Amino acid sequence: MPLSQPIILTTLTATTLVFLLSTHLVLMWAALELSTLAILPLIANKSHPRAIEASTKYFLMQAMASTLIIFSGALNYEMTGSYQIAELTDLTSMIVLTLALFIKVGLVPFHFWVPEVLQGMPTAPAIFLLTWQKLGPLVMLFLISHLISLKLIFMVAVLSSLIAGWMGLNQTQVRKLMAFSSIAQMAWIIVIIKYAPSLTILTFYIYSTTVSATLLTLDKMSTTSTKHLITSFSKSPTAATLLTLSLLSLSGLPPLAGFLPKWLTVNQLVSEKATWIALLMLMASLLSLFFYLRLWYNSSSTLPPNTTNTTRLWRKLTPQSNLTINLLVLAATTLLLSATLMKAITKQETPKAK
Amino acid sequence: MITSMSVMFLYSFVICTIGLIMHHTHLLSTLLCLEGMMLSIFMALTMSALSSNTSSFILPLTILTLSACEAGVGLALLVASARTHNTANLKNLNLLQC
Repeated sequence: MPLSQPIILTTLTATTLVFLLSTHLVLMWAALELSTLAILPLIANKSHPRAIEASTKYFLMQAMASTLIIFSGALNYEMTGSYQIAELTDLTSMIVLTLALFIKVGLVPFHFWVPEVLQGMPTAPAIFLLTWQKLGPLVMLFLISHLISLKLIFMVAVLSSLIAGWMGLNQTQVRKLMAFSSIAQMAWIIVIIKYAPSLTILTFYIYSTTVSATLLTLDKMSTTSTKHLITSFSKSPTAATLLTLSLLSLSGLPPLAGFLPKWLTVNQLVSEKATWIALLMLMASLLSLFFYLRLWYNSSSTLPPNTTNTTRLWRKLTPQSNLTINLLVLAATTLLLSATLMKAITKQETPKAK
Repeated sequence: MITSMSVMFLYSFVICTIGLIMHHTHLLSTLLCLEGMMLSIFMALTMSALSSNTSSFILPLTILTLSACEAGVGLALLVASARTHNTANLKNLNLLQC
């Protein structure tokens, strides 16, 4: 392993932790900036044209969003004299901060960088980009969520899930599909942030586990398009099965863990009289269900057009047993643990009058 | 408290942001607009530090240092794209379109 890899991973961890522990807007900006700079070598590792293009686009978008964050901090300081995020009272700076955080996370009017960046980078750092890098901006959104207007959140969430579903329908590249799935899952994460932030945390946790399981499995099979997925069952049936479970959990089907956040979110939305929003989000998740099912169909449910003589390849190309993938898939797909989580969450509801 | 000097830096920030969003030609002009945004924030914070009694003087310098690091990384990406794509024209960064 090259010497730079522990340094980069330590920087990524440390800057996100500094971000989560700080309340001063300029320190938060510094931590976000350093984590962007730390992940760029992971994206541009191989230095072929697509990787350099992906790293350029990622850098430009994240740098612009970070600059907007520090602009909102400076504007709030000019207006109110404080840099603390708890004392963010100026309306313009709050709106600019919200939009900058939407750019960082990849929600709808600003989602154009996500598929292109994920396509150009290797699959293993894509896990960092989709899970760890979103932790900071989501926590900041949670901190200012009492100031954001509800209509903006609902509009962004519904548009995100619809547009991500529609744009993912025609794709064959697997990393672009994971990008669109991440935009749609972010919509589910953000829709409930004003009503029940614990559901935001739950959705983010289950989403990051499931996406890591899926991307790790895809990385081990070294598949980057649906054309390569077709022969995955003869390459390694274990990986094809794990991929099936991870994809169905991402799509939110009932016996698997991905169903739990969707169910609880719809429950909370309906009890807060936002029934139309819940209906639109559920309809839009049918669109993303289509491309998850297409990935599952191509990997585990059809025969490849080039027939193989045996059901397994004669030579093992990749190691079969990888404990990380198996553990992650187990975590992403069991519902037993999530039943106890649900019990813990539903205790916070207000008791009905007798 | 907002002064006319701060309004001027607000305008310059907005002009640089619009320049960043609506660039068409070269990656270098994008990086220049990014630097312009950071510079207008730096000057706004410095002027407010000079004209108020309780204000931090080291904070704008910290911001300037980090923005210089960011500019260095941007220039490294410019050089890398000149090596791989043979140009830094933004219209040529189209390999990854949907």
